Amino acid sequence: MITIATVVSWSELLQSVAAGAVSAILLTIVVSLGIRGTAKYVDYSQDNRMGLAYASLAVGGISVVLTATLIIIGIYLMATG
Amino acid sequence: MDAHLILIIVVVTALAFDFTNGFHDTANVVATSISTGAASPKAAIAFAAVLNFIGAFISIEVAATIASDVVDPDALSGADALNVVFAGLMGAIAWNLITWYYGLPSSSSHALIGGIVGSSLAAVGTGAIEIDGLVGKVLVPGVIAPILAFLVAALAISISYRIVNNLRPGPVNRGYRFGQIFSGGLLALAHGTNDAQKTMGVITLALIADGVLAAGSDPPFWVIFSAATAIALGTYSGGWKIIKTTGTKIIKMDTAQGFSSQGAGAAVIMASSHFGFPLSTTHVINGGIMGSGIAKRLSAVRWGVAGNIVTAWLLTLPAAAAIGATIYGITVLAGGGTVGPVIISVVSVVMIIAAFIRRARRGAPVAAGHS
Repeated sequence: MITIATVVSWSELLQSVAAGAVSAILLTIVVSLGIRGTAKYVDYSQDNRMGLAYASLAVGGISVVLTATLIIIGIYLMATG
Repeated sequence: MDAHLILIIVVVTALAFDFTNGFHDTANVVATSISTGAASPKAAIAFAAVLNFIGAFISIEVAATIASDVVDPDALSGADALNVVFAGLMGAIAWNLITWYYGLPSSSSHALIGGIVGSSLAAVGTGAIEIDGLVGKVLVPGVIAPILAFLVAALAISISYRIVNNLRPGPVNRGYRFGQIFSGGLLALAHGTNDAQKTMGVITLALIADGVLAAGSDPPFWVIFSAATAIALGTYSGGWKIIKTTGTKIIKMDTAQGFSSQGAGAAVIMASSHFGFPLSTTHVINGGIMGSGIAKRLSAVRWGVAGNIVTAWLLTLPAAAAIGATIYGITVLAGGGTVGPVIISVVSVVMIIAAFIRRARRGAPVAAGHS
């Protein structure tokens, strides 16, 4: 008697679910923070609050680096098995 | 000579399926980018085609699943094993073209698996089916993946809206539009990785069944390269009517929703490919699109269109299986040798050309609208 519980490799499936969910959410947070940082940089610059403007720009810059890093790590993990 | 001729026909048919897979699934990859205005149709499709090609080289886990975990190559390795694979492929191609003709984004992957299972059942019976692999690696992940993409996209869009709350819409839209270049690129890469491998798997299955490769062999480089090329060319050729259904008829998307749905879809497909789960990219990206829509408001999703798509999904496995079994029956009636596949191939080419001409006469390709 075959049951779903016995034929599914739950460990692999759960790892796949966790990897997909965590990476998608992380990517969303990082990119959204980058967009917020860049948008705030423009706003603060127009108000001549340059300290806050540069801090916001730094957030944007860091998020770009993190986004690229996340993507590279993801592809590397896939390619190397 | 006969066996080699059938093998050549099977390989060409598999690559033709790969082409239709790319053609049919272009919508999954580029629709959200086009519908949010993140990319022009031509640029999005060319970008997707290139990344489909590259993605095909990243992994071979899914190919291994298709080659050995869906049907048993040893059970098929009889005189007409190649006819079984041929009939399964033709079942998948036929279902792909039927759903393309009517503009329904059904699953090419499920069509392929349904076709192969149907023709194997007709030829050998249930003994050829790897129930464990079919259920554990195809059906269960196939159900979970679109639900996961739905939930992840819903969560992602909620987080996005919170983070960019109270900002001027101009920079936010430009930011997510730029982000969609990456999320759309990742989705195309993921699509190439998962879907091109299915064709590699089928060709490898045929090579094993024919005795050219030993059981458990990886796909040779020429198989990987030709599958990558076929899916990329198919993607570049595009399927405009399905793009419209996927990109604008399910929900009207903003750029943040487009980014969230593509990011969720790409992450789920790539993670699954790593573990060798041959998912339907169609199911996953549509799950993501619905998730990003429902998080905004329930009525944003056009449930009638979504219902039609779900119906097509449910029909795909049995319909492709039935066509695959029927085509196998025809090859048997034709004597079980080369004659059946040759006749069916010629008739299919004529029917496909007729379908294209009929579609062309009904009107020019429909470009996705912008929201």
